[in-house]
Amino acid sequence: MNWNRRPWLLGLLLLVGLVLLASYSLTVGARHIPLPTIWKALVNYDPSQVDELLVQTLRVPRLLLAVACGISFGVAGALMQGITNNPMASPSIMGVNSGAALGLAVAMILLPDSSLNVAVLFAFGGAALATVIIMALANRNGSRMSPVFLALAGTAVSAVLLAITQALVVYFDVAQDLSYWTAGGISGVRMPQVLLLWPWTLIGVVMAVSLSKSVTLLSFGEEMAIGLGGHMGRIRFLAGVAVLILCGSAVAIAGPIGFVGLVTPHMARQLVGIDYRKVIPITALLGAILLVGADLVARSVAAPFEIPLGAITALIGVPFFLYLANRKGAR
Amino acid sequence: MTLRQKQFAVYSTVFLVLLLLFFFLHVSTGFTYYSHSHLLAILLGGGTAEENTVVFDFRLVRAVLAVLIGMGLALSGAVFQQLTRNELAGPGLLGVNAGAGLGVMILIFLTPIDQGLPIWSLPIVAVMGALVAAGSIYALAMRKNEAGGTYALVLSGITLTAGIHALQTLLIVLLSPEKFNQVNTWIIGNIAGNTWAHVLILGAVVVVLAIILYANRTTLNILTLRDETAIGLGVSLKRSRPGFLILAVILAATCVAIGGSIGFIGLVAPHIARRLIGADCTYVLPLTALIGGWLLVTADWVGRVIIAPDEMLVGIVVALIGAPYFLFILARKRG
Repeated sequence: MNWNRRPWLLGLLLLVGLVLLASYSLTVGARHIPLPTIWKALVNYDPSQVDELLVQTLRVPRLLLAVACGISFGVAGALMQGITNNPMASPSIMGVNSGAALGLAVAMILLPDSSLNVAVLFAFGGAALATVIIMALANRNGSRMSPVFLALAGTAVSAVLLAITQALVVYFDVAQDLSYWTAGGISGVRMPQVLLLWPWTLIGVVMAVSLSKSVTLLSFGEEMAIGLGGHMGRIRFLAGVAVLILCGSAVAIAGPIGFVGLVTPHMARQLVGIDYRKVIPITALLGAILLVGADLVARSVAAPFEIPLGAITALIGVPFFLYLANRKGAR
Repeated sequence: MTLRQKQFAVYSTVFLVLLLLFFFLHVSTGFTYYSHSHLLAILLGGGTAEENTVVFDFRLVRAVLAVLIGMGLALSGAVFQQLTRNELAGPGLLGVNAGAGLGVMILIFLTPIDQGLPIWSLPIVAVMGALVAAGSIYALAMRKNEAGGTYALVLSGITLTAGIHALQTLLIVLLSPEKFNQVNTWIIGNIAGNTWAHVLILGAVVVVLAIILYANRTTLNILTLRDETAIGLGVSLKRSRPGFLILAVILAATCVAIGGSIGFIGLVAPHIARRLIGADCTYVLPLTALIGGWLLVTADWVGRVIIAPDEMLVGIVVALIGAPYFLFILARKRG
């Protein structure tokens, strides 16, 4: 079926899929909670019931966080791939995650008692630093970023930032705090963190959607875009800001979760073509589904242990990405 | 002497002197201070029992290991770069560190805490893990196109390494805290805490493999030529490529098993050597080994003095120096 003509129908289907998956995910846990109880906890909350308390304080925040992170990473990846016209672009490959980690480490050292909001700001700063370094490297001599260059530069920048982070962490002895974050995933989140993340996610998504037409132009290539009347510098800058808002906030709260931003935009483009007005919303839905699903796996496979979310997404993402790359090579 | 030979003589002398200088600095650094002349006297056999223990069993072991690991990683990097005709290749990109790490982690995971491991077991599992990882990355990269396809190599290298890291994360969750610390220190890279037995194992591997590689330097040179030319010169690509790959992986994985996951030396050292002396393996291999040994002994020394009395793990120091150099290579290459 050609979804290109019926993006609304596809969106609706994905939304239904997300809702079904999310409801199932709410029932699964150390204690099985039936759907009617969950429904009652949502519409008519009674804190004296243990099950309803569990749903309200643990499971719903976690679900909302997974959805927000999926949307953030997916949309950020789509924006990056669009403005760089480069299929390898994504938050983890371009070093944004390592930058955010460095920012967090600095926040933990300078302001050990700071609120989460301040930590998120530092993570933004680190993520921005990483992005600026890579863009500067890539724009040297006006050379265009080849996919290989981007991937290698991202790896190297990541390695530098990671080394600095490790050095700081060892020196100031905050390893335990940070490793809690790097492996933490989204377990143990509470409603305040969720409320902190969602505004950023919404701002980022609104920016992405309003930029989507120009991003489509950019993805045709620079000359074409200028010829069609786009303002390259301004669009790149705004899209960069949107990426930072989305990645910085999501990474700061959920830790580095790779491959979502790399894989979902490819899937979306397969389904609805290259128009980013359709790609971005579809990517957001796919990202949310992927992360809610991955979180479900992470919680249930080795229960009562929890597997870090980043490991699950990598295990899904790696084969998919290799398949994608192979098919491209064959063409 | 040709010009090239003269250059080689000059450069190798320079790096040998640097190597010895920093080796001596490394040995003279530590908790107890010995004056330089006194240290020389101890090294030449004139120390008390306590001085001998400190200098020989602690400091010298570590310094010698640093040199050997640096040499081994650098040499294997040189071979990888020859095989793939790609100056960005190295043990790290080919998944050696990740694969060896996974092997080591599985071994630690399966061993009961209070049971010691035989000293040769870590290198063996590391080599096996690294062979699987590097073999699959190389096979994926080579299947898609001719040798030297940077795109395929980088792509499969980065993605498969990410996959292996994901498996490591899975294992880490299941580790007890004591084992986690053991694994974590290993992952970052740390040369301290080894014995002369480690030196013996690593020394044997490095020396034997270095001799084999040097004896086959002509074939290594030919492998960088086009496939048709290499075959025309009588080199069996089907045999020699996997052969060299296996040798280089064994070399790097043994180093990594003993020193921890140290990156970038295998990338940087051959690159410097080739910039100085050209592409001929006759000169590149020895120079690479000298540079690698010097770099790592220096990095380890820096790690010991920079935040004394604490210690910066050597893997961090190496990454702080090596990663910017890698970026410099990239920036020069321009896409």
